Amino acid sequence: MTEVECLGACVNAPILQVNDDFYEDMDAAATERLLETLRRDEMPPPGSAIGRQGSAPVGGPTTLIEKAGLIEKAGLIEKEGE
Amino acid sequence: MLSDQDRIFTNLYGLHDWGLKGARARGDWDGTAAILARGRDALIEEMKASGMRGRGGAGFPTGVKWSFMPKQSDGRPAYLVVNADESEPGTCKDRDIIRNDPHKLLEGSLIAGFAMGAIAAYIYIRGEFYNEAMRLEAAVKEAYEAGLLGRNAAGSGYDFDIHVHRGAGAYICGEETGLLESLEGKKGMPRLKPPFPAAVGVYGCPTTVNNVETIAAAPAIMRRGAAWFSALGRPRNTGTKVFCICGHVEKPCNVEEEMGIPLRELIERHAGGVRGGWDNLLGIIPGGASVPVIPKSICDTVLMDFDSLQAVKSGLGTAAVIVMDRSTDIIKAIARLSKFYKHESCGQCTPCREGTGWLMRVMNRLVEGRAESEEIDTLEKVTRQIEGHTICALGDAAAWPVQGLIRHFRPLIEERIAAYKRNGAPMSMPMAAE
Repeated sequence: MTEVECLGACVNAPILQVNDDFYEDMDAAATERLLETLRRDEMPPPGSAIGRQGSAPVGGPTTLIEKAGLIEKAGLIEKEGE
Repeated sequence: MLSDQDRIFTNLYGLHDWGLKGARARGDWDGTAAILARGRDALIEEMKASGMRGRGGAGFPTGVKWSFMPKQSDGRPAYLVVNADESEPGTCKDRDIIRNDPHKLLEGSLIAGFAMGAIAAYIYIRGEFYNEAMRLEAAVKEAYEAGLLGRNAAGSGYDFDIHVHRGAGAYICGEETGLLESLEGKKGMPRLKPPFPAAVGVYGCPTTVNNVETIAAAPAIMRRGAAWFSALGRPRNTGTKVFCICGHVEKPCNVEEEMGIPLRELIERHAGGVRGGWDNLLGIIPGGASVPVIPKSICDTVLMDFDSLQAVKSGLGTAAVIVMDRSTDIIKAIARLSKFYKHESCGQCTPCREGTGWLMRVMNRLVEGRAESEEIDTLEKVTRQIEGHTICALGDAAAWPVQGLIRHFRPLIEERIAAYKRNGAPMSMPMAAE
């Protein structure tokens, strides 16, 4: 385990990179859980530890609300796996 | 506030399909051939008229940059290089564009490449972004299969290829000529200019290097017109920008907003405000680690664009807003940045190679207060001797945070030094090369 200079995902900091995957929004407890899982030779799903959608703020985006709704209503985008 | 219909990156958060089908539903690759049919000069003029300034940090007008490319080939091919080596601490916007809206970048590359007469684009993506690079490759494959790239790209009659190249993880490879060296398989050491890349770039051929966000915004500008883009923001600072807000805010996030949005509004509207309230704010680094910090008094009123931030002796940089509340040891924070620049200096220019290490060592002493107050002036003087005396801007980037600290937080440093003396801790002799 080593400290690295900038993984390019500061909005989701703190980050742990395991092999090629980023584990985001980590805290002490989440890190321990991750290490326990890795110790069992399992790879937990990468991404936010607190269930954030990408780089959107906690609790949901403040933007791209009107348009996303409009596009979906117009049936132009198939909703992907709820 | 910017309305959603004026936002370019409509899948910034990855809520929708990143693939070609989803991208087409969002309007990408729509009428690309017709855009190219307007001709090279018209596209460059459109870009100039939009007022777009490079989103990678320096803020150079994009249309002007494109126009530097030779109009007639002297036999050498020309290239577009897309800088996706996003490694300015605080910045994570290109990652979101690449993983969630890769087709915007690909279509933008074709349009920009056509406008500058390039036969191919190299997208140089930082090595740590493995999953993002895989997604980009998948998008490139999709585009080739749909006939949008390659021979007769998008039915325009123009042949254009895109290659994805993964870097190996060095900050300096985000510098435009350092990136070209790295792309050629050499050590990422920036080149002395001139010749500028538009004359001699990658593989000795005319090249333009643009940031991911700049290129990915190009299709929207061509489709909706320069008048639309330049109506957003302020004069000379037009359009929209993806801001990355991190640090001591309630809800760190990336968000696309209008240029020139007040810093306070940006943070309170989108990031849930400063932790503990606005009055708990100490200072903000408004444009990624390399720009000078600004104290709360300036943050109260400053607008987020190139010229407004330059007027307060800081910079928009990559628009990575690093918020620090009153619990921050600002001296320690800047010392950490000095360590970063010392680590990332490529070492070819003496002022930077020696200077970044010197800055780090003095900054580390200032964190404890183990210094004489005259040394603050010496430190400031040394930053002036690094700034502007190196081949690339890494020297400047190392100097600016320290200058910002001294400019706005000098009393704090002096207090730290006085406290160290009061405690009767031993003074060590400052040495030239500690």
